[in-house]
Amino acid sequence: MNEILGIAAYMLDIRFVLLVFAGSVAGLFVGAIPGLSVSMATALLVSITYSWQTTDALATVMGVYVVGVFSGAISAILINIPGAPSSVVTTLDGFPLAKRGEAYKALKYAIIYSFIGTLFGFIVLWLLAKPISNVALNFTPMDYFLLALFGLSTVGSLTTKSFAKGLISACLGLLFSLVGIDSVMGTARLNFGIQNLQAGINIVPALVGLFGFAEVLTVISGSSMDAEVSKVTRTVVKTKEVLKQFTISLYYATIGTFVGALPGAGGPVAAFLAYSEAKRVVKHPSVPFGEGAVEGIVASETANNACIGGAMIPLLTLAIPGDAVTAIILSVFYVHGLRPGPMFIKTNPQMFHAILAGGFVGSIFLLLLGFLAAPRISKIIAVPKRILLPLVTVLCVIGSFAVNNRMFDVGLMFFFGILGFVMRRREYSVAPMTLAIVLGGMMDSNFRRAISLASSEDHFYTALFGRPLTLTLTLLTVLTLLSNSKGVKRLFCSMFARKRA
Amino acid sequence: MKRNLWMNGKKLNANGTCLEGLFFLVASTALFVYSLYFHADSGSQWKQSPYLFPLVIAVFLFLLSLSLLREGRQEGSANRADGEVAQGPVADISWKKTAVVTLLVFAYMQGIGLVGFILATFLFLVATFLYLKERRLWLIALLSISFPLVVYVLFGMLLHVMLP
Repeated sequence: MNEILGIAAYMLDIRFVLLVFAGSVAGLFVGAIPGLSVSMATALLVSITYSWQTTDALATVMGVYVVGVFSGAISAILINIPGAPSSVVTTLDGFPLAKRGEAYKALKYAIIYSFIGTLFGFIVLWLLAKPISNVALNFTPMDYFLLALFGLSTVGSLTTKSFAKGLISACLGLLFSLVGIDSVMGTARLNFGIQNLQAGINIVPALVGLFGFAEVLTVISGSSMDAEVSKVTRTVVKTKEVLKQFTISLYYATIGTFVGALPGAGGPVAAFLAYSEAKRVVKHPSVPFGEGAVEGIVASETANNACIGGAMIPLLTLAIPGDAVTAIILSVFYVHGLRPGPMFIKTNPQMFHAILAGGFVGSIFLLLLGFLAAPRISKIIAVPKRILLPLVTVLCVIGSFAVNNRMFDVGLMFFFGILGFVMRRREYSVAPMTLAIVLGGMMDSNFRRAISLASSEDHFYTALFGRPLTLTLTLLTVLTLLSNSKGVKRLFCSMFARKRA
Repeated sequence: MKRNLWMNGKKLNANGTCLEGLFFLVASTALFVYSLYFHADSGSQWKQSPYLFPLVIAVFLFLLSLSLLREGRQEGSANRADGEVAQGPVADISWKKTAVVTLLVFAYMQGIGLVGFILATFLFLVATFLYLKERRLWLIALLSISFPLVVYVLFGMLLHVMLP
């Protein structure tokens, strides 16, 4: 009851609602305009909201996150370019539908099922966060280390074609996180005599560089900077007709929430999984999948939005972000002096309420902005990149400077931007690096604490890995590493081939 | 015979992967030596050492760089078997545009310290718009003048964000 009142208090707070609205409007544009991304906007927001109250910052970030993930579908439907990676699957059926002159219908399905998916994810977060926190109270330092390692290995395996490149990206991120004075012994390391690096590499300029400036350089380096936009003509699409997919959408939402809760998987994987399930489950779609089936849009949009609530579960209860955006949201907590983890909901119930309220209010704005603004946004989506990108660059400079008010951080942003650009071009995903930069400090201190504790016991390895939970996490991590190893894959393939023969 | 690293100005993917593998091999070895050297210098036990985790990362990175080298070799032999030259992910890049914009941003960062945020932003925007082939001069003038001012008022005065 207290929880409901706590959430309702935020939902009725005009200031809170207005900030979610401001975030939602920003999310609508950054999500819809290819070349801008939710990660970029969130990273910039971390620096802008640095001096704000934590709940104000959270309200804005939640608005951007919820509406930004949805609005990737707008450009996916209208110009066949997904505004966000999680909307890639929406292009498969959304764009063919728009080409047939039914863009409004495609948008209406995307809006309604994004809303249902978001709401489902946040309800699951509300129900499951506390029980998971209670389990997490029994975690030892080694468990935290292994959980973060498991997260990094899954991100490494899911975000790049080459597992080795994914893990190298994570290793580099870990190294960046270790620069500066060590939290246990107070010794400066890996700063190579540079005075400004003694305090470490600030997360914000690194993220603004990796997601903001790198994105600018990537778009500029591409061959095409403009796109053709489909016309949106209002047609009659009955809501009753749209809601016929409601029951099956709950199945996609469950997939989305579950995948979101897995460290590293995120929206694109959830959307692909839900889409392939839709193809398996729906025997008679309105038109074949891939040719404008609304069932495909329902699956993709429900699942990728349900991921938001799912991804917040490990973030709040274990301090392990599920994807790049939640890694940035974790840094919002850090810059405001909050430490998510098993005790977070107990010690900061008002922050938990603010996140839930931000999610619920954000999903209402998703619905409102989706119906009122999305059909009219086509002209803004077509804003030439040659106009947009220089302005974004200026925002990156401001964002990276604002955290510590020093030009050195702008230089760091510049460095990480170029690094992110080169990494993208050489097919190294920046997501594992982001996660590693955020988690590195925690991994280092927990690893050393675990080693210290175990070395004072009689049986070192039993003390380190002997607990059932630790053993399970170790096995999961080893299995993830092995299952992505080409040698192991080849071995299994040859074994199966021999069995078949 | 050793294959050319460059063909029509574009780098081969397989060779690129091998070079990256080699780079990380050297980097991981350097990190390994660095961690050992500075650990010995710190006089602390390994279990408390600030160089324990970098050492573990160095070992991981070493193994991964070997894996990358192997991947590169496999890609190379697959290309040779196909008799084709595989273009890497760098093939469709406008390097000149990227380099010029990067230089413009670098100059902008230096310019902020010399002429201040508003004037440096104005100059950066004009130069970048023109370089990216925006031809509407009225739009260039409008955006280059209004954007720094809007940013100054919105961020600096209303949101109390410190500007460079």
